[in-house]
Amino acid sequence: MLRRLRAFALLALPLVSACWDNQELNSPDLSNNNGLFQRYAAIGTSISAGFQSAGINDSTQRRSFAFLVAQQGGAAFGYPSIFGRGCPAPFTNNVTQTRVGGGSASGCDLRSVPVPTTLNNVAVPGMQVVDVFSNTASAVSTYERLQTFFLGGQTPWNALKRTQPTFVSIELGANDVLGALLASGNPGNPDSITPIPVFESVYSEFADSVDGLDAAVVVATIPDVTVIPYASSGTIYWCLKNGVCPGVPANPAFANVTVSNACAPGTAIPGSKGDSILVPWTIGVAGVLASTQPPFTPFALDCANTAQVVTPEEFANMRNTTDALNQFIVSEATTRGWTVVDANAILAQLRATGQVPLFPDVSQVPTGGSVLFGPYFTLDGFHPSNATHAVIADSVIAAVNRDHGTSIPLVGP
Amino acid sequence: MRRFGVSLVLVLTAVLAWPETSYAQGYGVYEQSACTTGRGGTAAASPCGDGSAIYFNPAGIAGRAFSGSIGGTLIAPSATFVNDNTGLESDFLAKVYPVPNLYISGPIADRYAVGLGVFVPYGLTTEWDKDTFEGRFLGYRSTVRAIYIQPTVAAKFGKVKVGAGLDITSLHLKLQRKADLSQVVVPNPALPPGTTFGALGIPYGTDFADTEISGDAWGVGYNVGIIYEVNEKLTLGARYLSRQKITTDNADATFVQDPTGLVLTGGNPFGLPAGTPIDALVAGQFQPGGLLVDQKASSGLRLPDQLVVGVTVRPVTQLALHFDAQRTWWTVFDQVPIDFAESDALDQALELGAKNVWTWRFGGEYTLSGDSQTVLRGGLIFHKGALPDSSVTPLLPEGNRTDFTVGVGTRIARSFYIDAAYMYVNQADRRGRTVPLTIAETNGLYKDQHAHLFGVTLTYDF
Repeated sequence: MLRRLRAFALLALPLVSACWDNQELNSPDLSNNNGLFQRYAAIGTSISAGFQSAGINDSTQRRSFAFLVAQQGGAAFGYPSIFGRGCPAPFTNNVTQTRVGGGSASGCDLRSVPVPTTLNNVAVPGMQVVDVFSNTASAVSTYERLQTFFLGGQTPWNALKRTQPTFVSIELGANDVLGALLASGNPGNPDSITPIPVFESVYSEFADSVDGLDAAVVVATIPDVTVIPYASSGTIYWCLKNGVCPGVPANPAFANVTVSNACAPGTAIPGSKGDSILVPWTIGVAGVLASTQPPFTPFALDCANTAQVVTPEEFANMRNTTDALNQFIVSEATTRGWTVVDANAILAQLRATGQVPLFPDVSQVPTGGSVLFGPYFTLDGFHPSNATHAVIADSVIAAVNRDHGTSIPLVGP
Repeated sequence: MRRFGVSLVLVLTAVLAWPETSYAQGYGVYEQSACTTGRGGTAAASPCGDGSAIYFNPAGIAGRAFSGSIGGTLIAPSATFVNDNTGLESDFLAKVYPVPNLYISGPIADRYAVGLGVFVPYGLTTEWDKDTFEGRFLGYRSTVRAIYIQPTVAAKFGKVKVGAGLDITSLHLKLQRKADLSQVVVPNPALPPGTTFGALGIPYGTDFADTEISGDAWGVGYNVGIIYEVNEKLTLGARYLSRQKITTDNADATFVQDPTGLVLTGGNPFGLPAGTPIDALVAGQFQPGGLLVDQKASSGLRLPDQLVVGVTVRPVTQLALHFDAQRTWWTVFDQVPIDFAESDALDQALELGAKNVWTWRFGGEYTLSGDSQTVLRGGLIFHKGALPDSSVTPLLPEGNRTDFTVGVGTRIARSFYIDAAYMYVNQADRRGRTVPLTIAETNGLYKDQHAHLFGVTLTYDF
């Protein structure tokens, strides 16, 4: 009997061991970040979203620093891809205002389908801090239009929380100051800057909320918008007109242009504060170019005219506000053990190459080309180019590698 | 006759009080008897004496004494879905599902026997969290239940027994799912045809409706079998359960609006004022004249046919070794259509592409010495999955399985015999999806799929 049972067991053994093979997960390779990027959520402004040349489409979205960081980490990264020309389509020529595919400034092509099952990039162009928890707080028309299109009625916080992130990049605050520079009719308008107490209150609440997600976080500070090529100093205009500044010869394009002495540097005309005055290119360069084209309308730049320039007081307000907000952001991040990426260190790095022009390049305009802002800024004068996004992405990656012991490869030039 | 009258009341009571059935391979449920379960489901050549031969091989009731049995199996399944990209996991709801069965049979002459059985050879319930499970838009709760009522006749001619039963089948279908607004076409002629809410920014996975389709129908099939007792050591058997196609035109479709909580900003692509709730945008669809109003629907299901051939070997008197090979024609389960009476735009067909598969069953029984007639049982089962990866969804996360069984039976009184069995189901991890096929064929892994089954049958010998 025992022999029979033993024989039966021997017969059964191969049958018992003949189990089926398990199929496998088809997960992305996150080995270079130890799984940190399992669920990466990016929240921010048009920079995180991938806005370039006054527009955004799938091509520019895939060049945002957030997309590049995710790509280098091997992470899945769902973003609100715009199908077709864009929403709006980016400039192809900022003088003639033509856009990709003949699109218009108010035009908006549809989202690509199928939409991503997980939306990792919840950045929305135009987002200010007050928009994080509310869909009706902001009066910025661009943000309003794109918020529904990008997040479908979710608040940015709810969209972020929905991803259950393991890693978050936060790039907020630029629009809380930049709005002043972009304000038409009164550049530098202090009413377009988010009051510091309001910013701090909402940002702090937001930081507390993100802290509760138990995710690794990297925070970018607010870039100093007074040094981007969107606006040039009053001094530059005065020098280009008069040709008396070392290294700045007179520009023939200024033949039909008058520049008030209020634009002069204090070293040339005592009491002038041209170095602390900013002239948006949409006012200054546009006026200069118009004076060179039929009907050759003379252009008068008056640096005492607040409708044309950012005054020294407004300039100081923007700078001081940026500094104060950045101190607050760094404090909030440091307290929570978050990684900080200094946007102004990146700007300084770019300016050190000498390729951030003090005055836009208008040499191609006579032959039908665009006003150019160097290799690091796109045709709107303030959104970063592909090259800059790569620099930003590498700054983020280097900081993450340093603070989290990961080995994510850099994007490189 | 009085015995049959009492038994008929029991049958009707069981049918009326029938609970839902269980998670199973394909949606077949083979656990219709604790005795049979304990020995790996093997029964084609030598069905158990509890009357379950009515299901496993109708020929097996011939040559047996009167008996009636009532039994059931409790099934506790578990499974987890893991998303490839996010790594997030979702689990089956932790529930226990009962599967009762009832048999009565007896001789009516020297060589003839009749019987009546009520059992559920096809049944399935899968349940996930209706609010958080990522696959809730394919289905968060689905139930298939086919109750067979089978009057049976059998006859014995020397060493050969034959039997046949008429299966009167009560089919119940229920599918509950959430509706995702991002996948819905925007009813606006100003937009390109086929533009979905997702193309206007509504995020994937926006619950806006809870839908339920539920229907009952009747069908008819048959079950035939043959047993050849070669000698006292060897018995052969075979059984064929016919396929059935059962449809209903009277299913109920109900729709309940789910609040999305989404609020539009100004300048939105819908042209509505800032602050407009998206729920107001779709509320009209739930009102008379809208697409999502309660209405009738038609649907149906094909129940596949099965052929089982088996052999029993008794090397010694106390030991019986069983082997069954089962072929199930799952290819008939290729599609589940759902047609809505008032909303053609909602019509759909769940495409499955199932294939025919084999199941291999091995079982053994050892009768202990003594008057208790105590029998120890064990078994092993290998199932092949019937569905392609792209059809493995929350509704039917099936796959290749290996099952292990143990059981015991003993007489507890002069006319009462009790069988008990335990079965452990181990299903291999299987790729599948929780998203529409338009998005991906598979997007994750159904893993850690197990089930614990506990069966008991009480048999009364008249």
